[in-house]
Amino acid sequence: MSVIPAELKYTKSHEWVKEEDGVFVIGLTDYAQSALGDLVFVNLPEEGDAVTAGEAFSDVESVKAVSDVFSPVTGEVCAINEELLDNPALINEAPYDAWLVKVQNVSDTEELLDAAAYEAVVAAEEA
Amino acid sequence: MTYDIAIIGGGPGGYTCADKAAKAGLKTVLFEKAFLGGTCLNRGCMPTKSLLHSAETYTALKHAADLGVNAGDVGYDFGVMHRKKNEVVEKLRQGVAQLMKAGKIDVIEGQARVEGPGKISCNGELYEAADIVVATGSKIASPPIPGKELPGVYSSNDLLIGDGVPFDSLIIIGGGVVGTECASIYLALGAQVTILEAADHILPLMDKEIAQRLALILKKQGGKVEAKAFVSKIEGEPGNMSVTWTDKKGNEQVSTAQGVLLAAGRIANTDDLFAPGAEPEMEKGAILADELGRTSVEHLYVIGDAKAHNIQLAHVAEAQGTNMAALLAGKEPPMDMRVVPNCVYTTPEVASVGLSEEQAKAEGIPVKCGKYLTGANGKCLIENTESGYVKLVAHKDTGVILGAQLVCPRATDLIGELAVAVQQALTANELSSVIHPHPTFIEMIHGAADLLRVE
Repeated sequence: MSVIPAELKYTKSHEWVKEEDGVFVIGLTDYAQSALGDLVFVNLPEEGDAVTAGEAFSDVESVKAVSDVFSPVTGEVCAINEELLDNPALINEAPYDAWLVKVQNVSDTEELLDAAAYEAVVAAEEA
Repeated sequence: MTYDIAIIGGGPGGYTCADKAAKAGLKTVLFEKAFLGGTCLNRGCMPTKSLLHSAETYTALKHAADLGVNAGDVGYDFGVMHRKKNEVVEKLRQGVAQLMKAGKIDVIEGQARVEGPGKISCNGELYEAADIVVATGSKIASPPIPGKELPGVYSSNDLLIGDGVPFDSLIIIGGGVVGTECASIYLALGAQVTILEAADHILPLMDKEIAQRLALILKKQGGKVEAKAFVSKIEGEPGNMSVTWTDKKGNEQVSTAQGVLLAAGRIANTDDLFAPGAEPEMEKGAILADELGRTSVEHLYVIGDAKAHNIQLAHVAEAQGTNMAALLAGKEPPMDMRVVPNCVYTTPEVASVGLSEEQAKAEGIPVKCGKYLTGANGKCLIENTESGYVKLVAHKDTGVILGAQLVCPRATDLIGELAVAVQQALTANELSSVIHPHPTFIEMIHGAADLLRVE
């Protein structure tokens, strides 16, 4: 069973989102990291880059496959988690601490799911 | 003596130009103040590759047990490594000398100076030539860092010429090609290595993705890599050096090591090259010229690193040498200068050609990318290589391959096929329609092209 904290919002493409005073913190869910396997590399945007809801803003790499990470919001990247650049395994170890980017000036968001709705998405994929 | 063509500088640009000019029937003289082969052969590309080969063999033997090979106690002999390197350099020099002899090219040892149109002096003699080609290359740049003259501060020349300098710990100022290659050598030999790079990322001329990947790998190998690091001073004595620098957050840091390598780039070498009044138009010591190497002075040409805004690579100088000889012999220059592969001999190797995804985006060119991972390649698994990739950048609509970036074993060999693909404007479909041998590293190119295939 993957961990799905109740206080976060989610996307169908397995990103988690937390809003802190207008800044959206984005990461990969426990289900996503477990499905991807051991991550060996994370490609992150730069501070100041624009991201668009529903479009890829990053990619993560396991030993054998590259997977896109989609932005749940439209806005401007105001911080990246540089620790991940040197240690992508942090996402596997603690997916809800290992945020990828923080986005500000958000003008649009994807349809965000609450924990219960996301649990249903995961259950459907696992079935 | 009167010649058709006089070339100043016997590096890859100069000796290639001399060889081709002689073969085209031009009476040729070549001036070299030190050794034939220039920076590349004597104190650049070739010595680093020889040392890296020794260092990588040492690393491989240390891990031989993983492969079921009992190598016993593995050690290395720094002196022998440099002796082997010196032998390679000597053989290559002799090869160039032989080439010049075979072409009946007069090689004059000494510092040449352009005295005026068609006139060169060297060792007190005056030589005349219809055309003069400057191929004097580059020299090590010396940024204004307090303490850079201290005896514990070394240049790549100190590390690559003669017996070299052993270190248990080394701070490298400058994370370009020279800095990262030297880092790979010393890391493989077990030294503690810190790279301090002032730009946003190491290998500033490569794309960010490559730099980030290499930084991750160098750190895994035990190195420290700091970007946006501004060095303010160097202090200490050989064996006990300290470097003060400001990190990307603006905090002052001090790093210590036995030695400091200053690898902050190279600049055109035109010292004492022109008599007063004989200079062409220059910019910061580099000679301004058009694409064909024509300077502001008639019958005076420049190729290679001495030319302003030139890509500082041996194979660029070499190609320009070939084209220059053709131009002066009244023939069509054969080399296509638009596509230039770029190689870095770290562990693993790095190579690129053409456009990166980053550049395409900046130029507004719609692209799609295919990235094949080393983790999915059998040969990479056998050799336990670091995580890397072969990435192709193709035009979104036409599928034409515009560029490629590689971080993987033999990347510097693999890039050759991709230089052909870019130069010939092959599409991803065309490239992926070619059967690639299996099992090989090069089949990763096929894998990446296949990801871009449009049915």
